[in-house]
Amino acid sequence: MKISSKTLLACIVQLALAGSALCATDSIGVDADLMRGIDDTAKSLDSDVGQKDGKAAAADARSLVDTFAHIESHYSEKPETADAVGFAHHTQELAAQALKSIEAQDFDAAGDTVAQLTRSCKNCHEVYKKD
Amino acid sequence: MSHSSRRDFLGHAGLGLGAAALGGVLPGLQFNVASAAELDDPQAPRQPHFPAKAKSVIWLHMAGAPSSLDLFDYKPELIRLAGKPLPDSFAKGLKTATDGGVGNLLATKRTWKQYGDTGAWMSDFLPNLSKQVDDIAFLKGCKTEGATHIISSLKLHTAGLVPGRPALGAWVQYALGSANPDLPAFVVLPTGVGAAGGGRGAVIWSSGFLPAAYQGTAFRKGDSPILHLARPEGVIDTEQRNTLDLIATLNEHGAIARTGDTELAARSRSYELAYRMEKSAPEAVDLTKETAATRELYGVGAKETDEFGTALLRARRLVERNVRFIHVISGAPDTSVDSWDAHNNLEKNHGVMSRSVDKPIAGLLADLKSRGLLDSTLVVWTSEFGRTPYGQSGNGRDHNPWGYTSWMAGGGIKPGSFGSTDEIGLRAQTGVVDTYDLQATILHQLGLDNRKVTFQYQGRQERPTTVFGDVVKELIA
Repeated sequence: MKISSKTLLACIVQLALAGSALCATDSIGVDADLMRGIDDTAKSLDSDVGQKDGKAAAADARSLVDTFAHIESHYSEKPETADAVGFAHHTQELAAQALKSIEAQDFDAAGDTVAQLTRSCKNCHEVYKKD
Repeated sequence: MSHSSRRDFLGHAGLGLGAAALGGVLPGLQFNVASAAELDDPQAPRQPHFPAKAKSVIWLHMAGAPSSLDLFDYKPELIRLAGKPLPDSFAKGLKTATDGGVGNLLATKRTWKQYGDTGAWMSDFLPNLSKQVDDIAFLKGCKTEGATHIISSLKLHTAGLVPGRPALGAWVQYALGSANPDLPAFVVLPTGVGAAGGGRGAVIWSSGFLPAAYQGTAFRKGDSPILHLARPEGVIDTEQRNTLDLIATLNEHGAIARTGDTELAARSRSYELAYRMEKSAPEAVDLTKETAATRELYGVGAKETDEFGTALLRARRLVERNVRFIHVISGAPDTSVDSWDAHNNLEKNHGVMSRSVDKPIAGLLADLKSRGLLDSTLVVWTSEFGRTPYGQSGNGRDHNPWGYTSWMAGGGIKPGSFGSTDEIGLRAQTGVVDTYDLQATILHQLGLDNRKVTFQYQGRQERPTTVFGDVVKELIA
């Protein structure tokens, strides 16, 4: 179900971005479903990089860049969430860096960046628990 | 709890190859299994990614979760604050009521002292292990996820929160094969009575999505470690040998018409392995070959320590026979307690449980060292989580996934104390080691890069520590 979950995540993010553009409000929340989607996409990205599947890896990385942009935007509008904004921004940068390496066919560098990205996810969840 | 039987072993050895043939990448060798026949012998030894410091791992799983705060993690501030509610400053961001209410802070009742050149704090629950602290690296900032035994046990052993992933020992066997053609590379030694005796059952030593041949082989207590291993009564060795020779001849004949049939080759090989194991497995666990002094060192023969001591002496014998991963599960030695899971009456519980493991583990470390095996054997003490500084039921402690102690000894690990919890022992604060990191570090000591051990499953490249896992370099000697 790898492709469908990635597609779903992309749709969620696109809808969120479209919603934001149309009504300048956060039309979709940052909830458990979105987080599960990110988790799955990060795992997919890690696997695709490991298999040197540039096309699939790039799609995953792009999806994560968009998603973390959405999360950064979501938390920017909330009070006392500066660290969440920081985590989202940092993780977005890592996803973009991974994308760059993938496009340059440097899968070793991309793998290292993906490891940093998943670490960043964990660090954020140290602060923002599931409950 | 289920035990592997010879029949199971044969079945799994054969069935596993079908799964392997579906595709995967062998670590170290880096070829695609989909087109390779090499995995038709899952026992075949394989090279690590880099020189290994440890040849074997003895994984001591303290099932039920002991309290670090009453064994290793001395907290004067907890003693000072005992009887008071958990301060908000410590609890911030934690979902604290995991399996019952949050009681007031509960002080340890033990007497504490520093031991050895490293000055490690130890409680008097573990008087024998206290003499071995200079060989131990205490990981005092361990953390995990989940607050139920099964979820956290799965994470500890398989890096997953739901069943289906391979245990660490299965990954090791997959990555390195077996260094002894007559024994499985991943052996499980459950101890204890009651439901917790298996440490949540075979799911924590499963091969998951790896070929079934890599699963842990659980050895039973007693002289016959694997069910149905002994030759059937009334069949003499010559008859059995002749039967196997005939089967081998027929299979060889059949193989001529089925070149590339790895399952047939594997099945033939598994018959021979089982035949060899008829002798090798009972011999490996035959403690009559040990001196009285050695048996005494492990507490074999004494009521409180006999079962766990027997398991650990067997573990040492398996290490000598190059078994790569030995998973020992600490269960209750009698019916007075269930396991280390002390939600109430912790003093009684940990008294019984500590007495059952203290002398055997100290004996194991001393014995390995005196035989020159500790340098190449990594001994790991861990549990699915720890226990809370706040009380439960008045005299027990709840589950604590946020901060607890594991330890490692031997196998190229630097002794000392690494990391810490906060002042009351609730949450890991420095040197934080998640279970993924513990697993990655163990693999590293075995010469394996956790990111390069991979297996293709359902279109995805899977790894032993999933997408996480950093080697704790500070621990490496």
